[in-house]
Amino acid sequence: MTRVRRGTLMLVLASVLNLLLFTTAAPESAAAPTQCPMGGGQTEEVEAEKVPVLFVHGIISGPEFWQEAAPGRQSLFQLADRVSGAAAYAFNYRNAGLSWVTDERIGPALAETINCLTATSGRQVVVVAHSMGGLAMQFALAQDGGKTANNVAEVVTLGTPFEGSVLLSVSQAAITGGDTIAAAGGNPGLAIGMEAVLSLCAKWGQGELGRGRDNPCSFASVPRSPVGTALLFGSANIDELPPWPSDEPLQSQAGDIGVEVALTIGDPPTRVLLGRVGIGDGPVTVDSATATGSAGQPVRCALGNPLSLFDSECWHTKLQTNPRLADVVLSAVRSSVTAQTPTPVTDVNWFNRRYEVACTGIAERPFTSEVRDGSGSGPADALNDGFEIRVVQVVTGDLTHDGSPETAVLLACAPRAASPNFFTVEVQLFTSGPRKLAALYPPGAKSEFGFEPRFNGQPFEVGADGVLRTGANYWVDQDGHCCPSVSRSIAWMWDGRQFLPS
Amino acid sequence: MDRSRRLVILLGALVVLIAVGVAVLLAVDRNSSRSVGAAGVTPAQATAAVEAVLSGDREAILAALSPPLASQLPAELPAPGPRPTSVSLVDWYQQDVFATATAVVQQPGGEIKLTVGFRLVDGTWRITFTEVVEQ
Repeated sequence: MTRVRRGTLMLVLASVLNLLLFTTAAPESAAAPTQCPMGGGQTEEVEAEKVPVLFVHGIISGPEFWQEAAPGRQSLFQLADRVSGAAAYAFNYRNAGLSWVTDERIGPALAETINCLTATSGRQVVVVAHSMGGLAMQFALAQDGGKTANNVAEVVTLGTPFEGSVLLSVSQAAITGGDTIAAAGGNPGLAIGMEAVLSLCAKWGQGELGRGRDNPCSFASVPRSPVGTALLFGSANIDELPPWPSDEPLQSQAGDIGVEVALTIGDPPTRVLLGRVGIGDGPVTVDSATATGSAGQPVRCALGNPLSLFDSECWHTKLQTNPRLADVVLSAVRSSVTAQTPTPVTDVNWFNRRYEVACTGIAERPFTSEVRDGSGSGPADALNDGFEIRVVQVVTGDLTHDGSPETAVLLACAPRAASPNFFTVEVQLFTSGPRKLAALYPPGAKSEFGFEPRFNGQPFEVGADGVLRTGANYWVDQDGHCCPSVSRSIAWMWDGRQFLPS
Repeated sequence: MDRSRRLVILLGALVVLIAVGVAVLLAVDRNSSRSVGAAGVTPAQATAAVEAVLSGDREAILAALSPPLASQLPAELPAPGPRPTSVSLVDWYQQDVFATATAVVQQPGGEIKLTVGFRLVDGTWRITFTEVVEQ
């Protein structure tokens, strides 16, 4: 009896275990997550239909750079991730931190990540790049024959050395016994500022190399690495990068620290000011950071002396914590989300928007017309002096039976200074986006005198059955242009791919 | 027999004690060398450069400054005061040809502390800036 009970108990336990194993294993096999590579051998699951915001760090750094925040504030990464309709990701090339952007693990890998993000999310990517990350982006945009550029909505760079780094050049000149004023472009003030920065950076030294954000001067060890030469002021490696695509929006942001360099002389000790200079964000001057793209106003920080340089929110490795730059980035993200989020047809002002008009049979080619308060115009062509466009009627209904409404717009197009009866009418159908689904014309042949059938707006309605009905005039036999003798109602049925007339 | 066993135990304990002692000494030595290693040995010539700048003597100052700084030295300088009674440099940090240190200056008006930047030019440490941190 006891043995039987124990056996029964074992069976029950086995069944429960089976059930547990089955239920835990099932989702893994059923819902394979859609992931993209994020560099460094890492992958991340991508959220569909959310605008990806991809953060790209700079030299000798890593994705954790973007987690740093000013006291009492959230990190830029968190803030971007919280924008409704956006999702933040961080690209990682720490394992290639001292290589040039053409390295497979940097530029090409970044392009792969961007292309995957767009393919998976269905949205163009907003890229936020710091320092050399911006140059990696410049290289990535030209990959795949420009396909990557098509997948990027906008780029915001923070302290990217588009013309190289004066600080590195001064450092290099000092190491080789060269002229640091010449390395600073002949600007003694700038050379003074950069030498002061490099003296202070000695405190952090090589021992901190690779700790990234802990060391504000990690770049000071760069001159001996391959990327050190590439990032020098006016470097050939930067010049050889593919040009920034002219149609790719770029906001290049810069920090600008105003610093005073002084000597203390005599007794009583007297401060003698020897240089007051804008050193950019330290490693990158304002001119270099804004040499490409549309530059915003640099964020400025005034310091009395260089001792508090590394705490300045305009310092190169603190730019990601700067609230003013955060506003620029978040504004770009929100704009992109708005631009990429489909608008339901019910929210579109159909009497005030841009239309692509065919004006079939009259205009030589289709044209774009900005319609305001229901009226617009079109450009002249070889035969016509221009065109008048009019939105005659608008109706909305679920014409494709997918649960979301579509809108039909009745558009009239007439050549300027023509006979009142000489015009065409077309119906344009839109779904959310707004995306144009189709353009409709009345079926049927021309009359003997060459007059084509034309919509007349009677009726122009969507029935309770979700079918669009349009009225059209037909010229038959020898009808004059004034007087079509036949009117007909046409029902337009959606077959899953197109609208077919009854 | 008991006596020799006791001797063995005592010897064993002694060996263990010596081993522990050596280990402690090594650890202490390593820790002390770590703290010393944070800042390197200060070159005597760097101290002389700070003294030269404090002297107020124009020629001495020019010779002690890094070339960009020297190129911007104003024509008018504060009148030279009494020479400092002593200057010592501590916390010397160096990377390649750049360095920073703290100068503790004793002078008739009292003690001041300066942060001083340096650059090595043709084998000589030249000053890139000085800034009072404590007075």
